[in-house]
Amino acid sequence: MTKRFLSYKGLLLLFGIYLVLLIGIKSEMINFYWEGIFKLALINIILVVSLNLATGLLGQLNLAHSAFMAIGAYTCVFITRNLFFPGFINFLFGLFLGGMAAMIFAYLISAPAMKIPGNYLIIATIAANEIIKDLIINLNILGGSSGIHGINYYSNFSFVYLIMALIIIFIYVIKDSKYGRAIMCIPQNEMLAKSCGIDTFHSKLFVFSIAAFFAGVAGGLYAHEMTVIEPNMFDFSYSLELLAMVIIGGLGNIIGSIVSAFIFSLMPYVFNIGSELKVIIHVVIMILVIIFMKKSLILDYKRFLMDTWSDVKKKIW
Amino acid sequence: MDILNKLIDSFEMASIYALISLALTLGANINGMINFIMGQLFVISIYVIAFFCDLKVPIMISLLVAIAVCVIINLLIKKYVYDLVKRHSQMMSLIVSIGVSFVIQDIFVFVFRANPKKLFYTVNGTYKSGIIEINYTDLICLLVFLFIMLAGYLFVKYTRLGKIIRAVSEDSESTALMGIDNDKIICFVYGICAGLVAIAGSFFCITFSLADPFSGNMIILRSLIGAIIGGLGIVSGSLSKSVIGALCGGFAVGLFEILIKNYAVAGASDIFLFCMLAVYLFINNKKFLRRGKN
Repeated sequence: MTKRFLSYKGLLLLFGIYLVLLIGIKSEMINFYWEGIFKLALINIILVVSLNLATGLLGQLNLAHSAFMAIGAYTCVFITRNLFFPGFINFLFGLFLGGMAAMIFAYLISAPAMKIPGNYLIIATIAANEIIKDLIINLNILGGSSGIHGINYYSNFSFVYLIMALIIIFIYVIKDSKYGRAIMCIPQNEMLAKSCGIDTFHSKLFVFSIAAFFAGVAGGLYAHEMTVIEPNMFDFSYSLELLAMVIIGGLGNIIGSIVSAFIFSLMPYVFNIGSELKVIIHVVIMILVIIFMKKSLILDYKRFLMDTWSDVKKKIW
Repeated sequence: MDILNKLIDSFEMASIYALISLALTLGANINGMINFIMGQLFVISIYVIAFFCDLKVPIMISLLVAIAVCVIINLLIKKYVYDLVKRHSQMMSLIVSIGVSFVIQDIFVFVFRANPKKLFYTVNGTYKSGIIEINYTDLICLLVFLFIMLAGYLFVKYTRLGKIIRAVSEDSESTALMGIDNDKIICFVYGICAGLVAIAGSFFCITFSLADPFSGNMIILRSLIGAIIGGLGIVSGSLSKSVIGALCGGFAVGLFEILIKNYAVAGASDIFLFCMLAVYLFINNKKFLRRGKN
């Protein structure tokens, strides 16, 4: 599957979707409002795919993805305002450094938590999410709870799409490489992976931090798309929604998570759903998926449909 | 003596954290899973008491009804959600419990419209001796807290049922072979947890006299810190010790929080608490490594 996607067909598909959307925007079939929503969907795709790298391939549940995004966003805004390069180059620097900041933070929280067996990484990430939100609210330099207003608008559609495509391609490259295959065997049997000579602790740390890097980049894009950032945008329920999208798309299934991120980020705008109902729908669908997946959550939907179909056939006959 | 009175004032919040962290510890021991539903059960119990408060029912009766409602909801969620998810990894059931708690919170926000509701259950009056002043609410909370501490310890350590609970939390496969119905015991402990949370909810009602759908979320995180500091049944080894450990951990979190609020940064108490947790885990990770059974 991965080989096929990275071949010319997959790249052609990626480019074709870009052209269709671009023609739609240029000919004003998609108006400005919907263009913004499509861009948010693309940013969500970056977040969900990178979360899938940490959660699906590596098996480390991460509930601080929106906090990493917040760090990326605030760092990026700080740099675009204060660095001396001309506009867009500043923005590129900001994206990179925002990603780096998120990566360092992820390293700092995950290094102690991963040493302890059990579910302490989840608790540490939940705590990290709350800490980041509280810090932003309490620091006056970062605008406090009212946030930062009047950020320059840099994230145009083509740029966001380019970054998204690069990240998807990069994650496919990781997944296909020797290193990626080593990572993918960690969640299934960590002791076996260790005894085969894989440095599980450091590869877990590395991949977790890489996922946080992409989240930081997505945060920078988000800040320069919305032109306003507040701490309440990056709260815990957003992390939960992202995790729900990953689980609905299938752990380790990158195409699935792209599709689910796209559908679920357009859904509230299409059906005009408020934020509470949005969380309820995400989480309920996630729980239903977890309940009805028979064997494992590292799934293809194709196999799942085949299995259920054979079950139904057995019950009928 | 200002600081002493401040500490006495924090007894209500501290005993709420203590009771919920005891519930979390019991749940984590019996099932190996941290039950995040507790925060929302807390909110549910507050709203049940608020509903009966409107009908002018005395608080003891409404507390009993709230306990019943919480137990039923906890058992229903256990039967129809957790048991179906159990075959996946433990992380999945943790995520499911977080998800369910968010669903309940958002249903509450959807129904009750996010603005806090006023109650009129209050206990007035203070007890003075010298420089120390104690509100009667503080006194009630402290006494109930001490009673539950003693009763919980004796129950877990000396009764037959407590022995069975300890055995199930130690090794559920062997107890199943000895002819103990594990599922029944787990349901019983879940019921106790829900009851404790409902009592904590009634504390919240008599002290703050308001009902807020968002209050469950932060309370569960803080009492989780208390439970982890109390050992979560992993560090101390035996369940009867960890009953006292969890209660003391939760109480310490409450006291610590009031100290930070008054003498350091007012809005940033959570940051300090979580940093405390991180330091604790960082220092004690060897103990968790030795005992880690998950």
